[in-house]
Amino acid sequence: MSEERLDKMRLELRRGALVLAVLGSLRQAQYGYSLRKALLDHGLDIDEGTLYPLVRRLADQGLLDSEWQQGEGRERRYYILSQEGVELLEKLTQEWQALNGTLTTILETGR
Amino acid sequence: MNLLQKYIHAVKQELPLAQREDIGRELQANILDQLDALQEQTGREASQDEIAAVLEKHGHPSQVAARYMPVTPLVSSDLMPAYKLVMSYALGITLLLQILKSAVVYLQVGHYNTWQVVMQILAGFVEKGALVFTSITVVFYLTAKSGMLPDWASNKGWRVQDLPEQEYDWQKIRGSDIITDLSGCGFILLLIWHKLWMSAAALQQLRVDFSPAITAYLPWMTVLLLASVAFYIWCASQPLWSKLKLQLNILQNGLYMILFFIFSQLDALMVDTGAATIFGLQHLDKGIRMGCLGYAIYLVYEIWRDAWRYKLLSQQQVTKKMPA
Repeated sequence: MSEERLDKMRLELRRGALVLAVLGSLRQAQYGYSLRKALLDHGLDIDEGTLYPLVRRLADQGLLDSEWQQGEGRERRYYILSQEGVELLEKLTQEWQALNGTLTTILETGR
Repeated sequence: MNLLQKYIHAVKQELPLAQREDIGRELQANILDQLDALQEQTGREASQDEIAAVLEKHGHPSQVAARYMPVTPLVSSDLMPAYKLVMSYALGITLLLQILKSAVVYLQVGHYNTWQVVMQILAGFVEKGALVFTSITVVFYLTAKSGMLPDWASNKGWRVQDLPEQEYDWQKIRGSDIITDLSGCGFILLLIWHKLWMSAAALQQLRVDFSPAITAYLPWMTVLLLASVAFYIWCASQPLWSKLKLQLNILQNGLYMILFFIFSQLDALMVDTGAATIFGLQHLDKGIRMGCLGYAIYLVYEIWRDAWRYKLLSQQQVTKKMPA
């Protein structure tokens, strides 16, 4: 398989998971760069150009609350899960776990 | 203006006015955090090249803006089949009307040659087609946005039972065939009944006219052509060859075959009106009669082909064969 095809498939595979990862990381308030670092610390490297617009889109959908705050001599926009976001995260987590279990079974059986 | 300001300004220019300041402010705050982190890593202030590298990694301003405000297609992929169907029919009808309009001009104005007529059809079709294309796209966009789209467009409430019973590939009647047949019928009707729509001056200038022998058959030809128009419109509404449609097609082709064979056997199809001397009229007439005979023979093939297809449908065979 070519590297290009692998990258494309990997991108598709990660697309849905990224939303879950971002929602899961925003149980505590984070600003853009701190969120990226938090995800990186967990081993998930997301390009800034992808992460920041994604966070904003989730906020536009009402899943995140946001607030501008002054910190370390600079203003930053902090995001945190809204009530709707909390409920959605709970459902998506269950969905993910079920899917993960199914996939693990399929992948193990196929070996 | 430093590099960062220049970059943020460029991104903002690509964004809608309402979100411009807010997104620009947030993007700037995020990039400043990134530059701070870089400064912490290196222990010195970031150089212009390093700042440029960070900004370039974010992407071109237009790409960054597009990520924040993704462009939504005017017609969603769900509606694309209905959109393509409506578009193909609308453009087909536009082409048909343009062909008939150009045919009228061609028959009225003697100095037009075939090439000019083709160019006129193309130019007219491009002009009107652009309007039709834009109108349909706008209608789909607005109705989808307002949620007023009819159920058939989004295939809501479809049933497997309603799907066409197509056994063979040839059963699908192509839109291009229907348009061609309708154009042909329209053109011949205009030709036959030219005395009804041509001006007196244009009629006086005609150098040839139908002979009395063929004129006797023109009412029959007219009835047959009108029946064909009705048949092709029916085919357009249900574009699938069924046994009934094949029977009707065999019948109409049989009648056309008889008429064109009779035309080929007449002494003359055209007569000189006396408005001007026509050199080689006899040769031209002979050529047209030969053409009528050739077409009658071709219709024999079509009748045989449809009969063969009818037999296939009757037997309900799954074999997907068709004659060459």
